[in-house]
Amino acid sequence: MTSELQPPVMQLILRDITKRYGATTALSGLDLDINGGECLAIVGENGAGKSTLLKIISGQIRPDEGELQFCGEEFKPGGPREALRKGVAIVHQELCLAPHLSVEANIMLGREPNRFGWRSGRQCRLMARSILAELDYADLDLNQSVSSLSPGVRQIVEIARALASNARVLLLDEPTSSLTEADTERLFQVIDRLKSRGLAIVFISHALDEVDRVADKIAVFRDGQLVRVADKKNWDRNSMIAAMVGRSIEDLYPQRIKHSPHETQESYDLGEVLFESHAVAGRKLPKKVSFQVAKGRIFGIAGLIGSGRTEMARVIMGLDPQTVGEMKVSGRVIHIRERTRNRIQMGLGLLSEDRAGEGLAVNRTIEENMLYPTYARSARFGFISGAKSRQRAENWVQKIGVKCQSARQAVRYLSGGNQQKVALARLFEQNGDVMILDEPTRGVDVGAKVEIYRMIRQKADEGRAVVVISSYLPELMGLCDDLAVMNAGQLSNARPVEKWTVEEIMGLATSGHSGEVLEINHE
Amino acid sequence: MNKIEQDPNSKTAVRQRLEWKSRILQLLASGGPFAGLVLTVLLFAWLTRAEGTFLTEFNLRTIAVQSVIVGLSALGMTLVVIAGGIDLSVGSQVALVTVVTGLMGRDGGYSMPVCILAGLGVGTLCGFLNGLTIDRLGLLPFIVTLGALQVYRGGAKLLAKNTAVYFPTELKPKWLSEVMAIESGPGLQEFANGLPTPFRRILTAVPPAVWLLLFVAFVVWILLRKTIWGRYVVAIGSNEATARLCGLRVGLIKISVYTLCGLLTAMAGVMQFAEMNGTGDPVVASGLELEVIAAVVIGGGSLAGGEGAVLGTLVGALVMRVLKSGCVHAGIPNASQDILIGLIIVTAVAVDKFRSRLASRGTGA
Repeated sequence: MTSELQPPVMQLILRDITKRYGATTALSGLDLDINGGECLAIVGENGAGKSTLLKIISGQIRPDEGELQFCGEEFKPGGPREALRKGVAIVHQELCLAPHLSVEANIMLGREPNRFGWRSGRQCRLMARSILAELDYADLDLNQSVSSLSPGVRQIVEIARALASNARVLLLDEPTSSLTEADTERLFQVIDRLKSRGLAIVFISHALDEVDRVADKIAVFRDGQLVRVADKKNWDRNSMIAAMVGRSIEDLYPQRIKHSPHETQESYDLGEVLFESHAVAGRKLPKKVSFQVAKGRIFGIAGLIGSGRTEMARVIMGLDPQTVGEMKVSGRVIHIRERTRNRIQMGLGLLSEDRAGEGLAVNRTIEENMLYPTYARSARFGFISGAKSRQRAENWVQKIGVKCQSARQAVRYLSGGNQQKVALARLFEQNGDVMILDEPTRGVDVGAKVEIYRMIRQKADEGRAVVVISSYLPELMGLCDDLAVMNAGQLSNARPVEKWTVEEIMGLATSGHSGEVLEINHE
Repeated sequence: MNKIEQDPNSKTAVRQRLEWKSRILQLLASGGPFAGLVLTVLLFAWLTRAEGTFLTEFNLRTIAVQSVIVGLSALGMTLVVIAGGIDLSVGSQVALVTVVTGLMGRDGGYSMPVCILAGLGVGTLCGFLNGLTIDRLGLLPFIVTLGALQVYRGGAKLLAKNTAVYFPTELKPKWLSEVMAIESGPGLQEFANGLPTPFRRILTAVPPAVWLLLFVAFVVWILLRKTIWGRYVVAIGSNEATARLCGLRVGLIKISVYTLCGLLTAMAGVMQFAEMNGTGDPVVASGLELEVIAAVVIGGGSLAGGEGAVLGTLVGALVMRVLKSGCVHAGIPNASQDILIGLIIVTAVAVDKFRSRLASRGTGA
């Protein structure tokens, strides 16, 4: 064993790592080398063992079997602090920054150079500035509070914090899941810089485009095992997906409506319109939004985070106040101050982008989360029929394939994809004519994504009008019939999806956003 | 078909087994406060083994009666805590209710039932105002009810002109003194004598106030576990944003929860009034809110909302009274009592947290 451990560069070696939780094996017999100056991307469905691996490397949990070696020495961190001291830092999916503190304070938190316990402000600033300069973010205001930063810049602050403690291995757990494309690209430039400085980067992502862009080596995990690790040039999209799901996915997206050739770019026959919005505005965002969604069609809304997409959905649902404009559902006008409850009864439904914060009461059961808006259907005089409610929930569990012990299990024990299915089941159980889905596949693995796309298409085929909001452009292009672009609270005209080009969409989405450079790496 | 059903490894069979496992763990989880109760009782029985006064029927009846006031209010507090709120004003509400009930008799000359209804009405109104303020002004329940604690206490003192209000003796019905009596009084005996023996035994086994507490607890349990309203209360406490997304009438439900807490606390106030043999006392029950919140928390309630149990709360109320009574019987001085009770509350909740974490690990995927 030891003879092969003479690393030319810094190297983290994992041998035969196994981790079990009770009866389930999260990781089994894993061998992996992580080299300095390289970006290793780890892909796989939820529950494949990616996060377990990161937890082991970063010292949060210990493996049951196997050993780790770091730079030729045994690496057995007792906890995250010790791992960090030895040079392994992790940037979590949910960012761990103190929002009230300044950029500089966050970067230097816990690493402040001090004299007799007094924080040396000047030195802190110097260090923070030099680290940010290395990341090509020298212009970032150190005194700005972190709460005022965009998610992308926060990510940079978090990375800077890891560098402040001299990290040599940087673990990034789905760093791009809440970033816009522009921020994502900027993050990748940072990763490239860090690589050239000899750091080892481990990058987890669900977005295969990103993996293509940034990784040197790609490791695919499935069911707690490493399926294959190889240089990027030895992978292609199909082999990656096939390795992830254990089968080949012919087509990620379901078949969409064929348009007749006489439809022009700006005006085309929609058929029966189920939802209309005329110059609808909220307090700040959206500014004035007009669009129509027809029966049987999926309407995509593209745009950067912060462009007002989510705000628009919230105004439509009555969760945030509407100031002007008029909306109609199935021809009926919605009163400007109509309550959410009544809007649901009129046929509107929303899948929230913030699954854990808003979409689901994660400590409650699957049944409750599915039935909250519709409990009255299995109740009499306000008293719930336990058997009936359970039956309804179990039906959905079967129908859309939620992997769980029973419908009485708390939602927090489910994987991201299964949680999203619970939220979708609630929407489907409401069974309104108009369904608004805000980031329906965020944090969901490829297999579940395909199922969710299929279910969305099926709802459209059943005669619903569906609105899909997404930051992931290929998804919108693949799934939707019509598409419009949101920018600074305003929505562009809609066109059939095939009449758009990616460049046009990105141009519209980013126009007026100075400083946000964008490169497009799509086919 | 049959073959599938008999296969012990079929999906349904496995699922059912897992469900049983989680059910047993749930039972254990709900049994947590019970274990604490048994432990405290045993501890004090051992500490007072020389005196032999602790584990007597009379003392146990005393503890049961004394837990009624805390218990009734704690049932209301359970709802509030599950909905993610808190009500610090329950002690003041109890005082205000005793004063109003007394004044209605002394100055108004109304009969006892009318006075009690007035007392219940005032308490309910207090709870309603708390809920309304919290919802409409969007303030933290802690702040609103902290203010209400002062306002209601001040109101009670103002109405009573800072002295005790004695209910006129001629208007006092016989049963008033028997409601909170430890041994069944003559009126109850007379009534019970008309019943067949088994019923008589049951009826007189515990004091009438305790029956009331158990009945109210049953009703609250039904409301919480069997009605849509109860489901929604839990939903709001668990994740208010989800509740809004699902179109629940969050404001209305919150107001109803505080109002119900007011009503239950008013019942505690009437019991307090009866215990003092028809006296309205503006300074009574100060600090009661802490005992009530402790009972809820010991019983498994989480101040983060979404969690709490009716049965647990009853047990929690009993634990609080057993502690007090036990300390007295064991001859522990007052100051040490306070320290001991404080430590035990924190320990109980810490143990409960640890236990529920174990339980969730068992059911976790």
